Formats: sequence, structure tokens, C-alpha cells
Amino acid sequence: MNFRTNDHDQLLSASLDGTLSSRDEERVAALLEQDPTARRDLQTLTYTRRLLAETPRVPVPRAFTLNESMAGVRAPQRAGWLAWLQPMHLRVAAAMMAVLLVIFVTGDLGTRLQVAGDAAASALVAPSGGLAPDQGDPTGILAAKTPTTDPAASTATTFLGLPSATLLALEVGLLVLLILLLAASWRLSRL
Amino acid sequence: MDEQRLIDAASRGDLAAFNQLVLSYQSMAYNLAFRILGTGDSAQDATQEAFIKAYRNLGQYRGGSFKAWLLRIVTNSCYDYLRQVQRRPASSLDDLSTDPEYTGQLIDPLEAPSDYALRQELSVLIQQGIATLPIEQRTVLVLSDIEGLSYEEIAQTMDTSLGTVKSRLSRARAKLRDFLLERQELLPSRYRLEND
Repeated sequence: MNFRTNDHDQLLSASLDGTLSSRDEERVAALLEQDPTARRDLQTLTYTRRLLAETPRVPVPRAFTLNESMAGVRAPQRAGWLAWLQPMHLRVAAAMMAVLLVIFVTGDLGTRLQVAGDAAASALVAPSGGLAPDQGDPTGILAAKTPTTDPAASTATTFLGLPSATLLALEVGLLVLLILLLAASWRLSRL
Repeated sequence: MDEQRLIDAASRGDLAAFNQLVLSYQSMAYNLAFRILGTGDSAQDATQEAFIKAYRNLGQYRGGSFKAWLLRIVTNSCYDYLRQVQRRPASSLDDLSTDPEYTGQLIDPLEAPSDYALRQELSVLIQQGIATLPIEQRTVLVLSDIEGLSYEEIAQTMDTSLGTVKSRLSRARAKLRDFLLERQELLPSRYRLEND
């Protein structure tokens, strides 16, 4: 006759794991002392647990590590007109800015050097102590070689006829734009 | 790097750190899934799904036993898998019967062939016995007697009380005991119960 109960099994099972209170351990000890079926149950439960412990582990067939796709990591999607923008586009624009910057800087410097050279030549042609323009210059040569402070004349001797301040602003602007384009291209290539 | 640092880094999106955790726990996770589901293919699917869910939900981990938190996700993935199979046509249910070839995965190169054969027989019978248990009892039994978790860790893993864990475990052990005692002749002599 099988008179096992859930309470009976639970006591024996917990006793196997050593998780009973001292009071319940005393109950189990008394039960085992009096009841041969309880002794047999404890023996078979111990046996079952031993078999489970001896069950071999199943080797892992492969690594379960995640790649970015599995983890749901995607590059941020660019919307609208930014979607077609590629780092190469920005690099081409940066190259164009660089060429423009070189043209402006070399042109500006070249013009300045030329003006300085002309001024030095004029100084040689009109030595100190010579005739002042209002003192008479029958050939007109001296008047043509004398540097002038007329704004219109100054503009005519700068690169592309642009005022010096405008040229400087353009060069600085091109330099800033070039840096921004390079930075944007680098950032875009990392997305 | 210790586990907590890996968890913190993984929570910030460091996939390499999370993969370190995967390598630490994949054997335990796969074995649990395998014992619950009974076949290698389904266990692989459930284990992989569990690690993906774990990575995406790391923000919900609130400390405590990371192992219990992770195994809870594995257990839930197994339950989800079983629910999906039950919704599919009857032919799919065959997929979840014990895989007769699964013991082919239990090869240990250091083990003598005769010992290996005996353990194979034991494993087949144990797995058949586990498969007869209700799913919650199966899970508690595997977590306790194969994976060696404490009652508290099992309670966390299964989101239940200690009393329920004790009750399910004692019933599972008793049922598996009855199953094995009825099939003593199928067990290798080394594993048979000696009579008094």
C-alpha cells in the first residue's frame, strides 16, 4: 500500500537538500525510525538525485555570442536630403574650397608683392630733393610714378580689384568652410 | 573583468562585454533549454533568443543574481517556444519528443568508450523521464538537481515562492523516481538501485 503524501515527499526532499528546520529534521528522523516505507522513499529519492547529478552535461554546439545585427544595433538612418549625402561629396567640396583658397591667397600675395616692388621702383626714380609735382615736371614721368593715396587707385592694385578687407574676409571664410567640410566628412564616415 | 563591470558595460551598449557574459553562461543556458525542450535544435533556438532578449532588456536588470535573471529569460524563451509548437500542426509536436541522437553530443574524449556507452544509456532514460514531467516541475528539477541552483535562485528564476519551489521539486523527484524504478531493467547495472 502506498501511503505517501505530498507533505511526506516534501519533507524527505527538503531533508535531502539540508534545508529543513531543526524541528522538521526531528519529524523526519522520527518518521524514518518508525516507517520502513519512509526509509525506502528516502533511499530512492537519494538514488534519483544521484543519477541526475551524474547525467552528463550537453556540450554547447556553438557560441551564442551576438553580432550587431542580432543585437539590433544599426547605423543611425539619415532622413531627407541628408540621406544621399556621402562623405565623398563633402571631400570633393572641401577640395574645391582648398583650390579656391590657394588661388586667393597666392593671388593676393602676388599682387601685394607686385605693388611693393612697384613702390620701391618709384622711390628709386624720385630721389629725395627732386622736383615736387607742383614745382614743375615737364615730362610728366614723375607724376605717373609717384605713389598715390587715392582709394580708387589702391583698389585697382589689389587681387581681382577687391578691397583688401574683403579679400581677407574671403580667405578666412574659405579656410573656416574647408575645416567644417573636412570635419563633417570625417563625422559622416563614422556613422 | 568581473561580472558586475561586464554587466555595467553591456548596459551602456558594449556588445563585446555582453558577449563575455554570454560565453560565461551559454553552457548553463543551453543545458537548461535542452533539458526542458528535449532537442538540440529547439534548445539552440531558445538559447539564442534568450540572449538576444537579455541584451535588449539589460536596462530592466535591477541587481541581484544575474544568473537567476538570465535563466529566467531562458526559461521564458523555452515556454514561448513550447507555446509556438503547440499552435503549429501536430507534426511539429514530434520535433519536441526526445531526440534519439542527442546523446551523440555527449562525447567526452577523455572518457572510456564503455563508460561513455553506459552514460549514454543513463542520459537517454533520464531525459525521457524528465520529458514526462509537467513543464514547471521539469524546470525546477533541472535547475536544482542538474544545474545546482539554490531554492532562492530557483524562486527568482521562476518568479515564484520558496514554498512552491519545494513543492514542485519534491513532486518532480518523486515522479522521476517512480519512472526510473519502473525501468530499472533498462538502466546499466552500475546505475540500478541495490535492494536492501
